[in-house]
Amino acid sequence: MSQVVSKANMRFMRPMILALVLVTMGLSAPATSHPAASQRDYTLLLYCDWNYSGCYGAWFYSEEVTVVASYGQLDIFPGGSWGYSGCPDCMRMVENYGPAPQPVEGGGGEACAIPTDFHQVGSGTDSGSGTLHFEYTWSSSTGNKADLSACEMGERVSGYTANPFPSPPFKAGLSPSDPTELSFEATRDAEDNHQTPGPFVTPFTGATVTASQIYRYRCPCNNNNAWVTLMGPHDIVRTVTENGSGGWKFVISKSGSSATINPLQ
Amino acid sequence: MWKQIRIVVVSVAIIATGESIVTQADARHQPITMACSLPSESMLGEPLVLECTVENQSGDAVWVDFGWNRIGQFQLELQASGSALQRARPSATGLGGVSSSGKVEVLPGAHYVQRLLLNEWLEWSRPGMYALRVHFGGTISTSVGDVLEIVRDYALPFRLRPGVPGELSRVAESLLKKATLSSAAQDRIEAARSLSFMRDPAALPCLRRLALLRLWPGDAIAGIERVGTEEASRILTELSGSTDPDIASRAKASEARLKSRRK
Repeated sequence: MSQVVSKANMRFMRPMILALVLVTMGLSAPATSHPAASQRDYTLLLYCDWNYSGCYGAWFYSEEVTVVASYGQLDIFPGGSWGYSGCPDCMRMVENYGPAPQPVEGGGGEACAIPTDFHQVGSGTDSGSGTLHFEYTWSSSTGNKADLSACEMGERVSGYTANPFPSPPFKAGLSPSDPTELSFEATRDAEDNHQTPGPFVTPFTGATVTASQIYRYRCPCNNNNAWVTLMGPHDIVRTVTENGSGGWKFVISKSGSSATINPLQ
Repeated sequence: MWKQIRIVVVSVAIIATGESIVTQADARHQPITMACSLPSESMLGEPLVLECTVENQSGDAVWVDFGWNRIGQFQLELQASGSALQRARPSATGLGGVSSSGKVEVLPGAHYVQRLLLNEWLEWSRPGMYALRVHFGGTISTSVGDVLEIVRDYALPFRLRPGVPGELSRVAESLLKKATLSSAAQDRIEAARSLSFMRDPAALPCLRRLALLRLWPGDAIAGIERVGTEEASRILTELSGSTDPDIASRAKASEARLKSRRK
């Protein structure tokens, strides 16, 4: 399969009215002329779908808005996305036609809110059973965390030095997705629990698995909705070693904190 | 049609002295309530979402501890006639990971709705009658730490009718629309996750688009794998050739697991 993918920030795109289509966030309304509101940041995601010989795209707004879109010779797909026959024309379409849907209602031109001052709260703690617990908090660039409702906060863990984990001593078949990516709405604080499914398998033997973690965010109104790293990378290290008393122990560590199972049974 | 279940709650009246008095009365007349609901009828293959609403009609803010990822304090039991009882408690799987703090503040006069995608934690494969029991093990407390009593157990029967491909396609399109166009991140994330747990071939075109949009490629590819049909395999093969190394590696791993299951 061959595929062309492009991201374009259409912020300054001039509308070219060939067809008016009113697209609301989930609702349709009669197509009428609206005075253009102030420009808002938004992102266009676009890819060329060779299977269907067309482009496919979607827009993200920093707030709920009503838009009047100029689509030119485009087909409108359900969901406010659009199609355009002829993949090679994908980029030319963006450059020459510029769907550039302009918000006409909602918002009021608020500033783009992004997370700031992301930091760990206290030290990591051993919450038992080999689970290492962390808490994180952050602020909004606007001073109001509720303004981050359009943003995602999340993590990416990748680069496991052994995948699947060696067994023994780890449970057989332990094979995490690499990368592991998780996200949630950025209006609330975060907690992070690093755990290791058991049971550990005998005969115990020394082993270490390390992975690299970053914390990150993305907001539709910022950086084309691409992820922005806030913290990291830092290592998450899982180790099984002899405990000095004739047995074995498991230690998981990150950012100077650790959790332990000692002895392993 | 199923009659709506009338939910009677035990609620708390806070008197001027600051002491709590527990009384039992109808939810509509109490200052702080929790009520959980579920559509009484759904289609097989359609995402089924439990909604629990905390309403604060008191004059003070309250804190609700929903646990891990704001759903960890819900315990679920599903019984279908002639089938074994399923139990589930949402929790971090595998190696864990980052999640939203479970504590939510509900201001005076406000309400908060927590949604839980049942398809992620329970499985069903046949049309018919089902009985869902929900237990909330979390707490609702005042700003000074007083724990409020609420109704914690809910019985929610529902009927699943056979899936209709055309209708399921429309459901999938609607979820893709929400996942890509909703202004609230939470709505986008939940829609993408719901789409990925449809476990129905009708969802495949939208899951493929979601993967190609590179928004939640992990959810999209896992959803394609869960469908597990020949068409799903074909899409995974296609995605394995993606120029995005993450998408390509995830798709290859999913495809390998599908092939392994078929052997």
